[in-house]
Amino acid sequence: MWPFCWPVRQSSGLSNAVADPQTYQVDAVSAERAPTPDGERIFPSFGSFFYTLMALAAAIWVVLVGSAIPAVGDTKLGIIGFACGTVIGTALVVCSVALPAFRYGIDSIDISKASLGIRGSGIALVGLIVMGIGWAGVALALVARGSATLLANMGGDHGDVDERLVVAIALLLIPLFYLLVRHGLDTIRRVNQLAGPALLILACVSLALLWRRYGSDNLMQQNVPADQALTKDRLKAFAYAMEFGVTMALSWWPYMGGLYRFLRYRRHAVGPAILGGSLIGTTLSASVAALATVHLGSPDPVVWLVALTGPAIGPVLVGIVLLLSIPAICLLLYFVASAAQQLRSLARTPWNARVVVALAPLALVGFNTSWTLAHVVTVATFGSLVFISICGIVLADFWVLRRGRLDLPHIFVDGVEGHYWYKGGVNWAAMLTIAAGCAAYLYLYDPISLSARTAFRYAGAALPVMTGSALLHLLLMKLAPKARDVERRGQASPERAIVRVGL
Amino acid sequence: MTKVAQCLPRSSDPSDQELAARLNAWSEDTSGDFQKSLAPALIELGCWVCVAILLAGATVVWLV
Repeated sequence: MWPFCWPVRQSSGLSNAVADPQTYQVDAVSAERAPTPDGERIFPSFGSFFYTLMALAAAIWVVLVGSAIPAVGDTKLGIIGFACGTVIGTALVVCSVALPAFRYGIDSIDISKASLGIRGSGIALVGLIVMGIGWAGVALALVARGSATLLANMGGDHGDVDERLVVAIALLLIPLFYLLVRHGLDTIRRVNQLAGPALLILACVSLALLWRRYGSDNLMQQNVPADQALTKDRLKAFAYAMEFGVTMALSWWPYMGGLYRFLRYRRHAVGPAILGGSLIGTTLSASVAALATVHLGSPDPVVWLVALTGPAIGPVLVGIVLLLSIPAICLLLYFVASAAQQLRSLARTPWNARVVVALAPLALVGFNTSWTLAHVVTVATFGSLVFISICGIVLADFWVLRRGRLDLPHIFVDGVEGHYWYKGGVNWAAMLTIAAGCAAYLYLYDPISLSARTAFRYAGAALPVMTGSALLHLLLMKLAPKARDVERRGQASPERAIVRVGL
Repeated sequence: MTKVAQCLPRSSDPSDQELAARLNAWSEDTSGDFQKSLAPALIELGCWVCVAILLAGATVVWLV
């Protein structure tokens, strides 16, 4: 099947499961962006994919989102709305980017090149890097501060956390991230086979303890005081909860392609994402955090887990939660280091060097964890706004305009001979749609202050903006024949039977 | 699938050569599960979305 042996190197971001040093014939940087063949797809079972998606979803950041659910004013309504939102959002992300990535074995950024343009996909790349490093930084800050607080409490000190200890823990974690990420996705997958079930057990135990303490009648009935609720309008409260769920799911868009390109069987394309990523990883974990926050009065898991399980077991469980966030942080760093190959200056650098580049901002985070928690969430939130429109654009472009098919080699052609080459390498129709989508979203809803217009109560903001972006993209592509002409010219020319590809 | 018969590396760089070789091999590989139709996955996704929309709709009806 293979004309010659592939230089799959153990140090590359690709699977090392099939690596064999004896097969190295080309001493080159492994073409990690190249389509993943069947033999290198490292998720051959439902469980392996399910636990990886669950570990990514149920990491420490889900506590941040979950603790915000009671703020809608009605906790039970909030959990139902959040569950609906995550399922719908996950389904859209799977349809938009994950299924194409599974089919063609390439990541989200390469998938987006057909619709955004070979160079226009840079906007998705920037979003991926900002979100990936941003959320990895936030998670590192949470883990470092949580661990320092835990250690201080165990030592009997309940005052302010020692900042030197926070810095020391953060700087100790960074080499650990390097060791995990440098071996590529397969090592992280193996760790997630332990982290996934552990997070599931932890969520179930926490829920059972909450159930036992507050009873089935009272557990779901507790709400925040009315003056602290975002709204008194129950329909708007439901829209808020759905918005939290949909945007949480949409934040997966840049990463889903990077995971699905390693999925082996079609029958595992939906179940693990909806059950593991959406319902258990996100909704169950966020619901436990929401119920604990509203009953125990603190969004901090260090506080509510100790209050729930007692001073003996609580700190151990908090330590496990913090420890289990490490594989998820490593997954984000893997995606950033892998996507960095899209940058021309880093395209041919060794995998280990790109891992170091991805880790460098985290060293700064280690010295500024409080600043990171205060500011980086905002930056990462705004960085993720582009993906609402991009999800709609890529979905409409792939399934409607291209009938579910891509000319794979042309994804790697950087020039006018490529099918996906628009003027200047950028599909300006898509850029206009993204700009309009971001403006419309911010008009409807401010994701930082959570203030929303009246129209928000009917369907939130993300779903209407995504639908509008998809329709506007289709309309502009119909009205922009020049852009399409450039694309069609390549398809019609017989001399294009041979293309020149490159990283 | 593309009618491209062959992918050539854009430069003499080994990584471009490897990419071209992989793309050529990929287009010849018809045995992988990923080459099958995506329709069953789309139907399964549609079912999940319907369940979520029905739950959301029922909740809204209950609220209104």
